[in-house]
Amino acid sequence: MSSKLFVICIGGSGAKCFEAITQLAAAGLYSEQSIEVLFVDPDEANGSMERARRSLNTYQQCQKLMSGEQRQANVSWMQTPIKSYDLWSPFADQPFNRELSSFFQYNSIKNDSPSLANFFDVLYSPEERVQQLDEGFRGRPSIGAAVMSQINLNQLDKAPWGSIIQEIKNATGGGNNPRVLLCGSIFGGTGASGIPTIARLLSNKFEKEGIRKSVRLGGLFLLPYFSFTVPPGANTNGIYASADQFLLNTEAALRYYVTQASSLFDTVYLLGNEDTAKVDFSVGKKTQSNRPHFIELYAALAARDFLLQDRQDALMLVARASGGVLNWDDLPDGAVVRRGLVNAARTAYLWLSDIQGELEAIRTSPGNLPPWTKPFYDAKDPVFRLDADSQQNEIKIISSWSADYLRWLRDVHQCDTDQVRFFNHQMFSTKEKLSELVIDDPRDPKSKQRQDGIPWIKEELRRQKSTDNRRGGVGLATSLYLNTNI
Amino acid sequence: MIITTVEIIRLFVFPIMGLLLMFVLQPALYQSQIIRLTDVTVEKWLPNGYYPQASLVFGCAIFAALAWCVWNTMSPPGAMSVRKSRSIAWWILSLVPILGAVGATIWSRKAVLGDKFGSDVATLSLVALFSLDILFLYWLTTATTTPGNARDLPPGARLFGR
Repeated sequence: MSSKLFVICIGGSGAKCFEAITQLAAAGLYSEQSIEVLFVDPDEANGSMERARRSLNTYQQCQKLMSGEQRQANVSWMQTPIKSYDLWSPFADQPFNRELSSFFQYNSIKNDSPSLANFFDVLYSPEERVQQLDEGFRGRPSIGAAVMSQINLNQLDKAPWGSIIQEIKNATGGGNNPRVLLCGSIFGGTGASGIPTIARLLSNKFEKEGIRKSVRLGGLFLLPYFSFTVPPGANTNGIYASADQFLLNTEAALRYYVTQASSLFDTVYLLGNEDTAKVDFSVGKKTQSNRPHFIELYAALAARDFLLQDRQDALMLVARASGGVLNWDDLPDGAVVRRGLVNAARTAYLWLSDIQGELEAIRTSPGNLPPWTKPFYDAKDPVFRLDADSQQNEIKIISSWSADYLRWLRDVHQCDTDQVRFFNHQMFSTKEKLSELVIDDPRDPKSKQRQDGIPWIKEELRRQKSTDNRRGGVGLATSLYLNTNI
Repeated sequence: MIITTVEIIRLFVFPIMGLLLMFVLQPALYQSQIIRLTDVTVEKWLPNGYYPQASLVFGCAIFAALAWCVWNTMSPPGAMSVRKSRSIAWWILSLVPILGAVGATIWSRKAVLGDKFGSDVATLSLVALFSLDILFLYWLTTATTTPGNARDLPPGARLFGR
């Protein structure tokens, strides 16, 4: 039995990493063991965070639907359940006034301990002191560190921390070594300040609980991989993150990890890109929704490595064969990763471009089904009638997942600094282009023609044996996955 | 293979049965005078009129049925739109034996074959018998042997659980 993975995603970049983990889980690249996740962000309306939670929700619904079927069919697609502890904000107990000065009860300190208040004045400018922090720490680790350091061990007994720590404790039973991975950027505000603080707190908590040696603690640090310019006249709403500071922040953070926190983590993954992708400027909330980037795919692969490998005192490096281009061969464990991503993409593509539309077209005549649907739907069976609410719901859920998965893949390809050569993503919105979907498809043209013709795939669906007992939309999707596998 | 063994067997059995129907049973109806021909000698009409005409109908029907089955084996319909056009194609293909039967019926008349071998009296019975033959050789064959996802496209195929 493999170990359980717990992921603590800190800030917007951390959430984007988990969006990638969700998509790779759908592709069956983790284990059957569940992944548990907690998002940490003071900006509860962060666009990237919302998108990651939406993707997660879509995946969870689909995975729940598929879970029984997957065990029967023995397929890795959607095999990993993901449990979410949702979002925790350091301002959870302070819903109204989220100024830094209010968080530190500056006015009281000023009366009770003027010298301490003066020290506070030295550390933070008047603008920083009165800045509302519900849009995050605005790229200022100094603000974030102050807020995050207020979290204490007692808070770790409350929900959601209490629940996740209890789960980690339970996962250490039977000689297992649960993995706890903290991920986020170290060049902005929230991740840079949150990762070391939370890692130290967790490490101390595990020591206190006597499970530190059983738990493997990992850090996934994102180095600068995007930047932005502040447009003239932009509503910066006071202080804001500045891309010019990213390298400086990174240097300081790395120095901190080397000198102060090197013993905290059992494994550290550092990920970055030489050319930074241009994103739109945003101070936070809904507008801070940057397009998924291939670095996050690497982050999800790092999480996979952390879960599946047991590396001891090893320094592993992964780099691309040539700059500016990203091929399948550039991915660690490329053959397995390619198979997982490709098979899930082929299923999602076929479902959206053909199956879903046909099922919709024949929905009103469930007694007159084309032969390829008959192994899955039966007009005489109230449970498996195509027009039954439960069946329509299954179709809707599978369609949502397919759209979300292809959306993420498409976004990963739309990188302005590097050419990502995994899929011909322009084909995602066309019909009957299955054979042209994958770049560097290793199959010979003959088997391509045979395997990729939709009529032939439907023939395979029609010949589905009744003993396979795959019924309804879930059975159809599973059969489709098995018949499009390459 | 899309086409099953049972379908291949049916594809041989129905033409053989059609062959017996058209070249043994139906001529016997004329020879035994169950269908009486008053304007021609049956013994002369059968080899010079009926058999060539029946061969034409048989050939057209078998050609259309085989073409349909081979086409759907080599290129099964996938999308709904293809299924719809394939349905229309079945009807278009059915024109081959129908036109063959019309041609054979015209060919049987005295105006074409002359007084010695032609028969105007046989026209009505030939229309009925050739229609039956087309139903058997084209419709029944395609309705029971069409392979794969086209199996339900011939009209009435569902009567046979297709």
